[in-house]
Amino acid sequence: MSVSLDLRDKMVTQEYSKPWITDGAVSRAIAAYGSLGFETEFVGKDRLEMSGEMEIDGQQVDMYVLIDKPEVAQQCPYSDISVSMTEDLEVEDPELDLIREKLNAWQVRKEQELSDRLGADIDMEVDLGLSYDLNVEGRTLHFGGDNPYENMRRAREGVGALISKGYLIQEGGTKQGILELLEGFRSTA
Amino acid sequence: MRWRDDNVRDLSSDLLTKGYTYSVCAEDHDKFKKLVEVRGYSVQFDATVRDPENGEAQVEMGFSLLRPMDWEGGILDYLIGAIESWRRTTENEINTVIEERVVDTVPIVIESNIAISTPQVVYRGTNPAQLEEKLTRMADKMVSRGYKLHPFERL
Repeated sequence: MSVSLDLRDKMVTQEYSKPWITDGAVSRAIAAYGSLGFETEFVGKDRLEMSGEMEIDGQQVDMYVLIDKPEVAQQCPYSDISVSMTEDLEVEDPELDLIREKLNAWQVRKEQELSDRLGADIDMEVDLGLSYDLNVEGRTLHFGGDNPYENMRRAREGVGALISKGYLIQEGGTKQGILELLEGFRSTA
Repeated sequence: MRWRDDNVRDLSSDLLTKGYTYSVCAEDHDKFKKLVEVRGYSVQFDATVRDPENGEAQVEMGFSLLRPMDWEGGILDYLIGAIESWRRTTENEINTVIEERVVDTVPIVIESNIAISTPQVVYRGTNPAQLEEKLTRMADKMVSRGYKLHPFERL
């Protein structure tokens, strides 16, 4: 895919008739991020945004790239990969497992009781639903510099380290895991 | 057809010829339904044909009661209370940590619900005609005893 062509399609407007992103150094940075799996989301007069979904240690992680317009032509632009630590977690808890077991036992007993009373096979469905979203805003990790590949290497390492500590859980988790996650924000944010 | 078992195809075709219509077409099972008349009221018969992992394909055929029966009270009340207590405690516990350590977030709200379906009378077997006959007898018996079966609209 030609990144420069792709971008030109997206950014040709009157306002950006002199597109800074076609500057050699800038277009190389954009192409580099393109080769890493990022796609352009927005082209402004002094910044460009890209986004991508990366698999790190088996987890899908959303990443964003911000490329600043360099002050001097042909200067390598500063770019920054950011990863927001936002979690959606399902609740799991041993205490809840116990309640679920008791609910299941209740269901079986009730089915039997009704079957005996009605003289027929009775089925019932009992479902305990529990959920909440934990959205921690403003806790974004940044990996910036003038070398996109180096930024990406550091982002992968940094995010990978957090995942290995259980801090970036995409879905599923325990109450204890959530508390540890919150603890982690203090040291990593 | 995507299923590996010829019996499933036969059972599904059999149900369609008996006046059932598709209601759900899923990866490993199909559901059918048909309205029948029982003592002047409409009753919905549901049939499910599952793709069997082992053995012969079976049909589950049944109907539901119109309303939940008297399952309130006792252990269920206790369990609902236990869930509510767990929900409040956990919510407080996590929000206390959030308040102490994380500034830029909003308190969480835990949502809980228990869904209990209305009782369903179900028969399982390989012969839809026999199952339907059995089910019709049971529906008639129940309506005559005052039970209301879904959707129970006068015809």
